[in-house]
Amino acid sequence: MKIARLVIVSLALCVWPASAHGAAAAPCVAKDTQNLTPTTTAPSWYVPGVTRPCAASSDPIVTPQTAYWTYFKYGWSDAWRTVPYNADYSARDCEVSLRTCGQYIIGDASWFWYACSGRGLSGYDVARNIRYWADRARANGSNWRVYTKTEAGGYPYGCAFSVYALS
Amino acid sequence: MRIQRLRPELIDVRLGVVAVVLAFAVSPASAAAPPAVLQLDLKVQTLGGRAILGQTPRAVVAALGRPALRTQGLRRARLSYGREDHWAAIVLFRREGSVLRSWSVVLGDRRLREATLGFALQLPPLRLQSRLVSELGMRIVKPYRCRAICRGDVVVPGARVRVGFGRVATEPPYLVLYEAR
Repeated sequence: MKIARLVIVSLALCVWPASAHGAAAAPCVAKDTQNLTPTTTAPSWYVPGVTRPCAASSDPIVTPQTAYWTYFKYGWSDAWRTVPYNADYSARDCEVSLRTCGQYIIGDASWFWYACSGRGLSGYDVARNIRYWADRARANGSNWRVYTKTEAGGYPYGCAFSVYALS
Repeated sequence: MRIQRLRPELIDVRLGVVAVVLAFAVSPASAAAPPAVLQLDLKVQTLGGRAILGQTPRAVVAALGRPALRTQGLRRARLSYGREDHWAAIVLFRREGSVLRSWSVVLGDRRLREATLGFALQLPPLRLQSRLVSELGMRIVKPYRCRAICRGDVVVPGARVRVGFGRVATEPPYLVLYEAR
């Protein structure tokens, strides 16, 4: 009987810390420079403002010149990039109005709205996704930027975001 | 008698007023409407018989008419023809030096008629891909397939031009003719 109790107690002690740890540990956005496939939605476990980068680099020290994302050519596509903190501002814009926030992101509010709402995304969905990728950029390092792009030929715009490293 | 004499004159005046009102009401709409059926020639990259890539916004408006929507920034511009929920044509411009030039044209009207292929946007995508290769001598650079979106790309041999085709969700199929960078 004593042996049985000992076995039960030992098992409980072995299991308890792991399960307790699993329940208590909040997920965080880990550094990941490999899986960079653009997405239209953030992972289900990501909670804006709550989920943080596991180890965040500080935002680059720059003087903000404009809220507009920077246009650049990405292969055969049109693309726009920005630093994480400006991405967060855009996310806030999209929470307020999906119809207008695209003016700062892709320089074309109506097209952005058309593309994103046409994929069934709300302003909250888009904002959550932008915040997720902003945190991914922070987790990856100070030279990482959030970007979004069109398909080749400038069409269609898919309302997907990702990050990439400035060379 | 007096009334009877005046009636035809009144009717004429009323008809005149209606005609003037209708003329003003209809002319802006018809100016912004897309061409009835766009004629595309992929061999020579013309739309409606006119070169469509490498053109200024003014030249594109001269060729296709006034757009329903015009979006212009410092480095990019877009002219859209048709309805907002179903564009017949979208012409994209980018700045080259000090001038905006068209580098991409998106066509989404199923009535689009291509000189060799006929109603290209009514063909099943894989059939369109094979005919672009077999009849226009194009080379596949990205085979048609569906992931987040459905898309394929071919290149025009000897020209700095590519053709993309596909569809997004439940939207009608599209074809995009664009210049190489």
